[in-house]
Amino acid sequence: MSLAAIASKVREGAPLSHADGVALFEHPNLMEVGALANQVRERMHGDITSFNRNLHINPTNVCVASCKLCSYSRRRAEDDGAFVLTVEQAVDKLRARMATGERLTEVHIVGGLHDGLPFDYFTGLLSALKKTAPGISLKAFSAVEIFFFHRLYGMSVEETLRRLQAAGLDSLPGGGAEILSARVRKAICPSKCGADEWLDVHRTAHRLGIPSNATMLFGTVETLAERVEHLLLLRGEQAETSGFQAFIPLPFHPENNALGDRPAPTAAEILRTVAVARLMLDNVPHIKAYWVSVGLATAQTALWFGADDFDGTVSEERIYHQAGALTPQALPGDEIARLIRAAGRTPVERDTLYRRVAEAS
Amino acid sequence: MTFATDPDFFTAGRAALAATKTAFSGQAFFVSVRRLQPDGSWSGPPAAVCALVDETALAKLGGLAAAKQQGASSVLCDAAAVAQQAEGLGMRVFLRAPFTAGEPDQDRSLRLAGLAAMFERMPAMGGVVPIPLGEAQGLDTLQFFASCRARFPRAHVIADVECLGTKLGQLCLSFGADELWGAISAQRALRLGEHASSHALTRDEAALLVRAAGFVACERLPEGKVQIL
Repeated sequence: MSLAAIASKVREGAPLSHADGVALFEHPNLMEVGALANQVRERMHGDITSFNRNLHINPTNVCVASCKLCSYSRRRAEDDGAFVLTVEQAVDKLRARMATGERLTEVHIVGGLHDGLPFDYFTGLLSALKKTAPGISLKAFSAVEIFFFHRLYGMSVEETLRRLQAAGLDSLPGGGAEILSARVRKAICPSKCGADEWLDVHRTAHRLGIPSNATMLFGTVETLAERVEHLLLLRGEQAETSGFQAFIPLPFHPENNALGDRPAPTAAEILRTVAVARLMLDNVPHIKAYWVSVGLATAQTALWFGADDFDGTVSEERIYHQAGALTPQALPGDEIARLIRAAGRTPVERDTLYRRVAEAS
Repeated sequence: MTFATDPDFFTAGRAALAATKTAFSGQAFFVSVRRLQPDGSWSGPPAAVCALVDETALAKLGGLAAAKQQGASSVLCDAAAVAQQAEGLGMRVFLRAPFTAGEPDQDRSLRLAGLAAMFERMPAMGGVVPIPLGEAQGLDTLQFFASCRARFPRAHVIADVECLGTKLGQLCLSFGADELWGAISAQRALRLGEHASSHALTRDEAALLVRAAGFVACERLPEGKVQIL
């Protein structure tokens, strides 16, 4: 399939096929693929680039999963470097951030699969955070964690989500998708939930009115065809539920984990993946340039290759920094707005649901 | 040219990439560089092909001749007097092209015109090295590289990954650069502890950056030799 033929489909608004996706990944000229993705991005969002003011809380790094791609987890609670935040400690982090006077709109919570904590710990965490800041949106627990809770505590996925929702859960982050392929998951994260299970958690959440995001961790052992398949699975799911708000391509970081002999995806590969995602996922509203993972300069450039969101102020990100990310651990909102402007886009502050909070100052 | 007046930055990128591929037949280069610091110490791999001193370090080093005596074989400068002296000493000269994010276009154009005039007077110059003063912004840096390629169509335009970082350095290859400089060696330390923010690369990683940008990877070796990888 030629790029001209793909461009014609894009102009007509026709969904791209698996073969189209592979052709976009293999096209020799990154600039042409980027320019096409930029057309779609500007058709959907103009020159707006959104971001939010959020706080990341990682309640624990104790995790039974032992994924090869992870630099963050500890197998047992007594292992060196293992931690579990108390609910009070998590609330203190939120209070400390609120005390700065910042207009925080979201707390993002993801952690390890700790098999020694009661379910009440997680509901208690949500309700305590909600009580502390009732107006703040709680985006918590990846589908992998939700599925783990379902198994560990003997509840259906739906019941697990309902109880978390009752405690204050507003939306799900998109993590743990890695590559939605049995072959890849067996190779890099065999003890995580499977692709069908990951999708089922999101489908159930969407049915309950809980929106979510979707990620793709690329650059480990997957083929380009498997990347495209991943995108098509998400697009198919979105066609049924419309619950995905954003897609977040995450390049693999090789430091300090069992896949460290593999090179990290280059900036060109990151931009191409952002662009292909924008072109394939025509029914997903937003594509994120997650600056923590891709780096600031690449994130700025990605705003011209299909991305329309810069993620948030973050603060205290641990998972990518354990894997060698060189980015800061937080950026003030004003700094994010400046970086977006310097990239020739118009910054707009949003909330978790992508509602405009304010024009960035 | 700015994004405010030319929102389609792909125009500049396409032109720069096409010019680069034409000038070097689809090849792009990488070279291992070590640098003489103002205090007289060296950074970078001891076996690096290029032993570089930046003109900003010369005052503390006691001048160009002293730097050469300490092992520097190449100089990065934008002062004509330094460039002429370096040529006289038999050193390789690279043209330093400084830029600052957000500076007026007119300032850039004037500076590049002046550097181009200097470059024309010194045909033995090794290439042009855009150097960000302060923080290197993603799009702004790429635009400046594209401007350099337009201004120096046949010259080597060099992306220094020590200044730009690996990711931005590689992206410059799509916007007019045809060569990467870096602390490149057979092996590197994991980016942990004191090496956490290191931009050091292995030869394989450097070659991958070049290939993934769509070029044939070529490594510069001692005595002006080039190995196609």
